[in-house]
Amino acid sequence: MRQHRGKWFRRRLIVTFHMWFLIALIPAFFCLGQAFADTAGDDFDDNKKDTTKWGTDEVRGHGHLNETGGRLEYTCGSGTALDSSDRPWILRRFPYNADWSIQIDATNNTAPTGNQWSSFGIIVHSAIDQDNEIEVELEADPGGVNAFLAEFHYYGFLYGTATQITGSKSAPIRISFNSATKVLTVSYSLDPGPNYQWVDFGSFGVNGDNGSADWGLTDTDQFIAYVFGYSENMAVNDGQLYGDNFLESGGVTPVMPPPGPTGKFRFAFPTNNPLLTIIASIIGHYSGVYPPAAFSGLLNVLGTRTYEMDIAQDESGKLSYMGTVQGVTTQDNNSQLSGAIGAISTVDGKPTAKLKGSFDDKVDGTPGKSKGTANIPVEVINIGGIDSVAGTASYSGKIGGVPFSDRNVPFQVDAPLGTVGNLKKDWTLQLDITGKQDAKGKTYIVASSQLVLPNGDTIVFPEKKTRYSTKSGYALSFKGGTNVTVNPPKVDKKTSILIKGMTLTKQGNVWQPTAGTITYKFFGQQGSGNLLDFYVP
Amino acid sequence: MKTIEKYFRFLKWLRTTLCGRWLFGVGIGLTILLFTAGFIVFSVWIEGRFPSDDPNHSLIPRLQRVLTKPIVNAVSHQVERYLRNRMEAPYMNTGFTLEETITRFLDENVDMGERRIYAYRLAREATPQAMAALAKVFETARPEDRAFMALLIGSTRNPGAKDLLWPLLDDADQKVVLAALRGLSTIGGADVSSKLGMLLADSAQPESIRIEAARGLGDMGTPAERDFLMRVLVKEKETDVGMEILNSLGRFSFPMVADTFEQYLSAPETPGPMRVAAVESLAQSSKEVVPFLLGAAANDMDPDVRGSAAWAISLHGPYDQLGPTLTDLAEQETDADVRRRLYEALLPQSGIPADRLLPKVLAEDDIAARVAGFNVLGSAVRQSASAAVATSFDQQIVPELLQIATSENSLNIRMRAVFALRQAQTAAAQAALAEIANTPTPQIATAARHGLRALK
Repeated sequence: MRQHRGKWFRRRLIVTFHMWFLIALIPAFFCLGQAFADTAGDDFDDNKKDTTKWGTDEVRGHGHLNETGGRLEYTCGSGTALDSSDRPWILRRFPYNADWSIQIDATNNTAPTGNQWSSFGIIVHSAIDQDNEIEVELEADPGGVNAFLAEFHYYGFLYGTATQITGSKSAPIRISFNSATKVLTVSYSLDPGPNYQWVDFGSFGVNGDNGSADWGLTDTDQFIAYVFGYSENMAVNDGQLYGDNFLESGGVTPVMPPPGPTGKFRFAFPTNNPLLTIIASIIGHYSGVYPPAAFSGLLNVLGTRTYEMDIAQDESGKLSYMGTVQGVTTQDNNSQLSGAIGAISTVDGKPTAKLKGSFDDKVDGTPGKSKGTANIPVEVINIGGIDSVAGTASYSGKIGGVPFSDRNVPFQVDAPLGTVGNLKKDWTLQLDITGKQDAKGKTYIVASSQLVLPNGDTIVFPEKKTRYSTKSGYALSFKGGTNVTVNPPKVDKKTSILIKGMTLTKQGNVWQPTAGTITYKFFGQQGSGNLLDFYVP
Repeated sequence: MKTIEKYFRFLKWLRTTLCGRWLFGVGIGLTILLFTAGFIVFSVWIEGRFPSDDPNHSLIPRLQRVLTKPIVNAVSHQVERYLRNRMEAPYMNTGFTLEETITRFLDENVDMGERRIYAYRLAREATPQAMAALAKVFETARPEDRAFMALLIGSTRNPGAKDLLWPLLDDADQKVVLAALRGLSTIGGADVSSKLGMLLADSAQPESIRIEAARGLGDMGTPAERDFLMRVLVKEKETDVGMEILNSLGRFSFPMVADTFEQYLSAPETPGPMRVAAVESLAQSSKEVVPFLLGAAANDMDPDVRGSAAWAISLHGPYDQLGPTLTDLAEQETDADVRRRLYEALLPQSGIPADRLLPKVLAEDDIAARVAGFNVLGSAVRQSASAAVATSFDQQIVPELLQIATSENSLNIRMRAVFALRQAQTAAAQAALAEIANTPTPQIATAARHGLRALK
């Protein structure tokens, strides 16, 4: 909603308002109208609202705009505390990355008294936030004074004003934009036209430079223009308050605002939150002594043997190993043992290595068979100052022809060297929600994301259409992304991210998530949690 | 009578001297000992070489089952007891008498981290005093300590300790309940089995309790538990509980669950992800499952199921004459991910027809399948591949593997490229590993160095 309200009161504050924010005020020099190649406008001579140019009036109180008598008349049958009517110029919008200007011949023949006030003018606001706006108007106040007035708003707050008292009840007024300096300038013309002699009486920056307001605009953003009539506590009749010869230069085809919050949002797994499910990557080198001390009974039979293993883990959590165990070879005397060894999956919210080995090897030259399974939560626990892993194991085998087996034997062993360094659980998600426009000018929202996995692989999920509901927020499902770290890139069917109920609120000019849940699934594991626990502002 | 004397006349010399009689006794004793030891060794050897429970390989099945098998079982039992004693040693050999251990267990001035370890010995010995002490400490211990002790008590496998664990199933803290369930299932028994079965079937129970119950039933592994799992499986759709049931059933010996898995996989209403989970769970089953998995890898309509079946085969290690069969499947397979799993299943097999495999692998566009194929070829080159395959490996594949391992790519793919070079052990592969050993990525460089070190 436009900001022009309570102007009678505000007008009296203006005199003492601390205007440090104005980067330039009343330069008091004449300048000729800028020449723009592309112009559009409405002289209102057809006495009929052109709906291809003008949108639906936004009315407060009893304010009314009507094309009549070859001009745009503002009337108000019976005045209330605040009456107004704003008519949006929908034919074109105004770019942030190019120069433009908007002007209208304003006439204010009203004679307010007491607490009455009236004006006619132009409003321009940011298309992404209408609380960032500027108005220029020809006002009449109860002292019988007419003045050119400009008000500049920053997220709804009056950030700056400019006034120029005039004896004229009719004059062209203008707002222009310099895309190089990102400064909006308000002007009036000494000549009623067509040979305008513009006098600038206020300038306001919008990009934060030199203490100006920062409307948070980017090159693709646009401004929207309105013409308006306004009154407080008074009736306004035909011929008292009107505009004519609306003209704009530099307008462009409107880019409609997206129908929902947009922005770039970064999420990261908070490794310091023990309540969240870890997705573990364990690729790397491990070494130690086999059998571990807990199974020292075997040591007397098999002897203490050092081992070194390299582990690879694919996108579905499946593990392969290659390594050596002292004195152990394959049946064809290869000291490098290798093969699939199981997978990691999530059990009760914990990454758990479900390992299985089936060995047909030689131990010190003697053929032997053994097989075993183990379920080991992938976490390093500190026991007595020693990094350890604990789990359960089942095994069967033969020692010298004597079979032996046991099931679900709990064990707790020193973690192999490399366990701490190889256990990776950090991952990040970059979510990009942005507005787009189809060929018919209809806007829609698309979401894309990029997931960096604990092993460093990057999965790119292409943009897809989505919708925002004020009540239930965004529901975003990313699956079937492309692993772009793999060369050549490959579709990863095993990785998915599901975000539900992601609601957002605007803080400053940035949308921030306020609620939601995230379910993350990759490496054959999955977890979920409160989205806000993962959000990195 | 004379006839008898005639027969035992040769023993008359025994009566001649005391020393002679003693020597005779010792000799007899030694002979019996030697015979017994020899028979034990013979029994172990014959059961190892010609197992009585393997009808295809046993020599005299009936006689073996009566004579040699019981002896091997007895030895096996002793080995297992020995291993278990060794495992228990840290808990049992506390340096205190049982009475002292009970006193320390009850002493609140002793750190709980130490006291709770004593729970094992107390539950193992299970004297009335020990049980009373355990019950008393359970009343006041923190939930994490109660959970720790419940697990430890269960791992004693002392049925008498169940009395301590049953009440914990009503504990207000869920992690204590889960630990008690785990402890009870480790001890086992029909009473535990039916309790777990009831919890699993009760859909009003929290999911984590039902999952733990399913896991416990899988741990116990008797036909009764299998039946509980099967009954609930048919009611579960695509749920975590259903996944855990499949995981538990997969741990049974395959003949015990073969019908269930066949029906489950062929039922049209079984969701795709559950079929994948079912097949993957069979990676834990007994080796008899391999032909079944081979059928799934060859014929299932769902490529995810085919790939999972191939992966499960790979975890069963070497299997009779599987190399050519898996190669056939890889040649026919249209899905690259499935081919990757088939190559992985080929890796532990012997008799790989490398000449047939080479063109197929070289035609792979999918990097993961390609590198998996290179691993098989590397292994084949080391074993007994033709000169043509070896030359092709050195000239064409080694440079590619070197490039993969040293350039930007997924860490998983790069690691497997190093594996493939290590498989081959040719001079060219060694030279490539030496180069990779200097790559800045530590995991890759270490794997390469390890490969070089292993061959020295």
